Amino acid sequence: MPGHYSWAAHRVISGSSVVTTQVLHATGIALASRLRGEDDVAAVALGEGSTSQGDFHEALNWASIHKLPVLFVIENNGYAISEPQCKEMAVQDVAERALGYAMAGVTVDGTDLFACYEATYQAAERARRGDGPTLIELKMYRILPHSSDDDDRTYRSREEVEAHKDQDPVEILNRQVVERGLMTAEDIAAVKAELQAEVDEAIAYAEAAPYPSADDMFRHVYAD
Amino acid sequence: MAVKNLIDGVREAMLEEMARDESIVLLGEDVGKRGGVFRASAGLIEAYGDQRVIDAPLGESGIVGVGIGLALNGMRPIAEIQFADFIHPAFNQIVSEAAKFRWRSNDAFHVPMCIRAPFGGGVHGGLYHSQSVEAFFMHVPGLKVVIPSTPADAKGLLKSAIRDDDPVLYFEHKRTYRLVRGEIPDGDYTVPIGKARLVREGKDLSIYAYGLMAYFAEQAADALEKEGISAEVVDLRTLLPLDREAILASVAKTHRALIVHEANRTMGAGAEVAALIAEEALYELDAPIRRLTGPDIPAMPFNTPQEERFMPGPETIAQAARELCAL
Repeated sequence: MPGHYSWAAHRVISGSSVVTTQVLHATGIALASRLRGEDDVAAVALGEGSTSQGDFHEALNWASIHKLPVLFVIENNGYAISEPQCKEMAVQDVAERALGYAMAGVTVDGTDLFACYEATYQAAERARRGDGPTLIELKMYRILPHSSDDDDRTYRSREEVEAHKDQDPVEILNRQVVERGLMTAEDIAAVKAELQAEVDEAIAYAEAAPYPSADDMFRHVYAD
Repeated sequence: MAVKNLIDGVREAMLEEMARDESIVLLGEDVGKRGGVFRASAGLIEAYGDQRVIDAPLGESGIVGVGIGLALNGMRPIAEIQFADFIHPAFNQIVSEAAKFRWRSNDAFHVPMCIRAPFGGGVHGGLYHSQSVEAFFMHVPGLKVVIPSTPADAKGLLKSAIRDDDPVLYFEHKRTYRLVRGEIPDGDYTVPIGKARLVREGKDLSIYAYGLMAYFAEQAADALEKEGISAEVVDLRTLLPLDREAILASVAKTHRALIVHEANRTMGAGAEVAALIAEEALYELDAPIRRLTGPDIPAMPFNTPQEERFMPGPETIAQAARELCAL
């Protein structure tokens, strides 16, 4: 699976498939910034399913002990593949877990971009003030299956999915920006067309690109 | 030069490297005020403060995972695992993350981190304070695995491990800490990773060992010499990557190979050395390759007779050499 992207120039760190390891990395990244006296804030994303892993709890503990500038951003979409939240944890809100680590924790409507922005902004300000990390839980409903190989009809009813169809964050944002007078329907259509063209171009570029040479797999195992 | 304990080499390397490079930090359980349960970091917190000598919460995955984050953001962490027996909660971070970052990101990110851990038995440590875990990590491309057997190598190899731009596992045999004494050169020096040490030259057989077993192999060679058996002793020092040239050059000279390690036999470091010799130097051999190792039982027993039976020592190494030379 070629999903292990990164972007060093923008400090987007490479991620793996073993869930939750990245939460400790973000904590260490924040600790490095603190040691050098910089005002950077690290942000790390994970699903609510990942909050069952030990690394999640070790990271929150470290971050809170040292009051590190790190935001733990949890996308709680109610499902870890087929397992609903009630089989993943006994708490109602993941943010409750912040209490056990004496850190700030907030639950936000994850379908409301403006609410997400506000919560993240406040958390970043808190981190820069030296008041420590924040657990930000963004709640939403996973309208689509987990992946292209996942048949979600095997574990949840069509009625349940149908009942949440109006909670697509993109559609909600489209309504919000019109209601607030920030954009018109034409503006939205133009942005959508622009993004579609960018994606089409990227796909065409990728499909036209040659495969790497087989010998390239021996590169970068260690420093040259 | 002064004669010192092996653990002094470990401590001096950290003390000097942290003075040389401000990006080096030490994190681990009890590494601060206590100076480490073996006193390997004694004096460091007084020299560099609690921002760079960090007492970690008790969780190995956290120590290594936070270490990786530090390394990704410009620091050079030394992560101490208090006993190698307890490294397994960090296995995922070491194997899935530290070892793969450079390759996975096409060289955009890398993890310059040294993970130190005391290992090995013969100290009545019992089941969970005696284990040898090096073979698990020898199987992982992207890592380096280093084990010193002298005070001078302890210091020089640790300096190399700290300065290395890739993750290095540096295992310290805890019995060697204050048993093995030797001269530590004055001033700054390093010992290269990936190079074996020819402990003594011989012509009748090659004994390959590392850590405490290299020390015992030298004692065995002394005894064998009195009986007219000339043993060459090769201290592997680095298990990943193995020094193939040194291993093959020695067996080409002596035509007999005895590989000694304290870790249990199956899939241990000795299996890789034996396979290398079998693949590359079979026709040099005058006798089958011989391994002398710890037994395939789950852990080191606590009681004296069983612990002694578990550990290869100078006498059992000498006996194995005699048998090999009689073939």
